[in-house]
Amino acid sequence: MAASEEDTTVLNTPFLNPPSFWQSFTTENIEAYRVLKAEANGSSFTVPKDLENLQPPTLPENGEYTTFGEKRSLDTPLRDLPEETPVLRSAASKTASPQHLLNLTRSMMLSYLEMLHIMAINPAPPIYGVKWEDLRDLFRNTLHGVNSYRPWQARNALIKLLERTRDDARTEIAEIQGLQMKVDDTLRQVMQNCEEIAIGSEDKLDHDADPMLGIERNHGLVNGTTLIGEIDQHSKNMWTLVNNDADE
Amino acid sequence: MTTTTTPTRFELELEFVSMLASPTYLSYLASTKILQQPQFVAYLDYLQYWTRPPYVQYLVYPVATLHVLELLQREDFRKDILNPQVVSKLAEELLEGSKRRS
Repeated sequence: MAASEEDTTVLNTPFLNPPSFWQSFTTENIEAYRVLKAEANGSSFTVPKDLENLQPPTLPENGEYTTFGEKRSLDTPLRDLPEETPVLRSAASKTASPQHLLNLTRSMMLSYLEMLHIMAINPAPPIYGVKWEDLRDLFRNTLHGVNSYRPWQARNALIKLLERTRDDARTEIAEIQGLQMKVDDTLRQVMQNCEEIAIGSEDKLDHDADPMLGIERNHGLVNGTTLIGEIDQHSKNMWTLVNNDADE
Repeated sequence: MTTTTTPTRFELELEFVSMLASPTYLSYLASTKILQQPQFVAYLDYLQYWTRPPYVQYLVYPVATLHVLELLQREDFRKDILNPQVVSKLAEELLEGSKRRS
């Protein structure tokens, strides 16, 4: 259906061009879509045809889709062994036991050696063919056994992933707590220094003012410039501390 | 494509994000200067819906695809990928990642 012109341009490049949908992402379109979305306020809304490409496409029906010419489905059950292959499993359990897999591998090695032995004596296909078939059945059974572990593997991969995320979060929390303690220390130091200065100015006030008159002791006014200077210095120190930690 | 039906937008976009996992394809895209176009950058931002369910489960190679999609959101990466050294470094990184997981 595509125009022949388009075909030649596609063929001239070593790779496929990106789908043309990106051309719809103009500033105006994005803004229009944003307004529509804000108006809908979380509920579903109809998108005009020219803005269609700005929202994620609809999911394929039945979970079946084609990608790179290959039909895929989200739901891929474990296929049974081909009918002509004997099921080499004593236990009726769904997943093959590790011991069973190990046995299969050993049988494989033994069958291979037996086949080599037969071939060394008489390499005619009808004679070693029996062993050849044995080997094929063993391989199929092993593969089937390994595949039966897929749901288990998926679950364990997820558990590992979640554990890693949890550990990361814990390290982050510990780091934040460490930083908080540092900030607390600095703040305490600032408070202490303030108090010291305040006491100093109080002493000064005591000398100047008549205690009998009950003059309110306004420390900040007496020694204001020094106090503000000290606080500035401390807040500077604190910010360097915070910045250093953030850089780390 | 063997099928005669036209691929849906879902399928086209899925194939495109999957192709992003190829460093060679990225370097080709960078050479077309498309990565510097604001519309395309907005498109890359939009494509991030693939990082969320239910879309994420349709990806065939989720680790590589999502990693590159994340990198592509950064302006410095979009510029640096023109450099062949960065391309080979990324290829190594993706290969290492797949080895570690297996």
